[in-house]
Amino acid sequence: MAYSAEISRANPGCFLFLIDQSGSMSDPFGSGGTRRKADGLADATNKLLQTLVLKCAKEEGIRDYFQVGVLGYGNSVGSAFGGALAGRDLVMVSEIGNNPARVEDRTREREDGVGGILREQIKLPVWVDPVASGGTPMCAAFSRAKDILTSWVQQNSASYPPVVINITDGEATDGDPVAGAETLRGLYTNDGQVLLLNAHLSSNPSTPTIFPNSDATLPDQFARTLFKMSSELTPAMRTAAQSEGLPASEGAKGFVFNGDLVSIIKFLDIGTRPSNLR
Amino acid sequence: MELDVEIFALPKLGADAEEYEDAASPSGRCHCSGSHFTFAVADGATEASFSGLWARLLVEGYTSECANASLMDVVTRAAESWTASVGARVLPWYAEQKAASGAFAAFLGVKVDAFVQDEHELVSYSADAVGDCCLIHMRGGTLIAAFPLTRSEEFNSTPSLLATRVEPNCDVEIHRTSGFCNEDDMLLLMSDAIARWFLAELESGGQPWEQIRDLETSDGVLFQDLVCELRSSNVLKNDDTTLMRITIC
Repeated sequence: MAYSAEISRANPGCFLFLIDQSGSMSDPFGSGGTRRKADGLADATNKLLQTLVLKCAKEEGIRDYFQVGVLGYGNSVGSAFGGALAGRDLVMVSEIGNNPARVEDRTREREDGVGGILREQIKLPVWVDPVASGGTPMCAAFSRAKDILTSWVQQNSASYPPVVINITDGEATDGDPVAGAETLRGLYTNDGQVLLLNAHLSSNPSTPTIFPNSDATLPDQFARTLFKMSSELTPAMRTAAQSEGLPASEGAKGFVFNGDLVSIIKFLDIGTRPSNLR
Repeated sequence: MELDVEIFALPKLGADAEEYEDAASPSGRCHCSGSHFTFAVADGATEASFSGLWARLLVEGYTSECANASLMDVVTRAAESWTASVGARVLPWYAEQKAASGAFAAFLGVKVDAFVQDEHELVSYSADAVGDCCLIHMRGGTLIAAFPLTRSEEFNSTPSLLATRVEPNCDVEIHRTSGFCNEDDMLLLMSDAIARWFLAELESGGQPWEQIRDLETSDGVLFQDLVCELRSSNVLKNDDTTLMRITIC
């Protein structure tokens, strides 16, 4: 059965993030907002990396269940890591956890459950900084991803197939990305084809959408193209999504519109995950 | 009442012995004589840290508390010990954040009592369970009870588990059962992987109790050999595997 390989240190999985660093990412989210999409994307990417690290963290350190890469595309296509990992493509998740470019102290507010607000000091690791410059060479990014993952699937043929997460404001400037996405999804291990998931950060103020099974409610052509390029969620991912109260019906795709994909990381099985862990 | 108790344990393939996150109490073989005993098995969750410590604190707490302590009393005291132990350590950012989410474990505790009624000694048991550690009660080749899960398809990788934090425990349901034993009955306390295999074998008409009964006797195989064979046949999930075999003598 596809997508059932055990993710372990002997057979690690692979996450490759593709992040849009084009000039249009300096535009704000939605209508009338002031927060730049580039800032939101950097936060989202750092949150995804943090979630991956925490998924693999144990008392003795970080278990290398995954190899992870972050490719930025804007003025050029290349590793988006800052700090000690700068310039590197795929690295072990333990290297991610042990080498953030910096760890920021932030204050988080949350409800205390009795009508008040609690302010907590939290540490926020940063690997990727906001960049907004140049065009949107998404086709070149898919091509670079294909090069990286072609050798990965050859070297890890028994592993769970790579998961590629593309976060963008939607419009490629170097051609039609659909064919490149198809080529990327055509790579496979013995356990299944590469999964390509897309997150659309849009200035369009339409309602956020997560894991749709049709493009009927998507607001523009860019969103519909990204939906078309996205892999269907695996049955295990759909089951996990549904158990978290997310809509993921038959045919649901790994696409979100102005939403986040952190939940996807939770859905990959590396062992017992308590249902009451929130 | 006399009981023969044996513990079998094997870590997940590819993991070191110190990464073992199941726990059992008692932790070694014993032949017991008396009228009241407690036993426990716990399985720490992979996707939490310090889960092995949490599992050990739970089983040790359950078997050392007084007979009428409730499971949640045991959990409260074990959580205090866990928090004190983990809080005393200097941790990197990820370990600190992970520990803040707390540890989680499946748990099964069994109390066995002997009492005299109409000049006959009767042996009863009661059990508390959260999650997917299972109690199997066999009388010869007959399954008397499987608890809290009764079918192999009921197992999954996201059970509701006992937590070190108070909040997640609000969602937890403690399952309880009780029963009576005869001489030569076996009570099997199992972590999830081997319990799932045992129930699946029963469902398909197999006789897994024979392999379990004969383990590490002149008629049987070593636990390690059995588990490795079942793992390589893909009928046993690669997971920490713990079995406590209690035979009523």
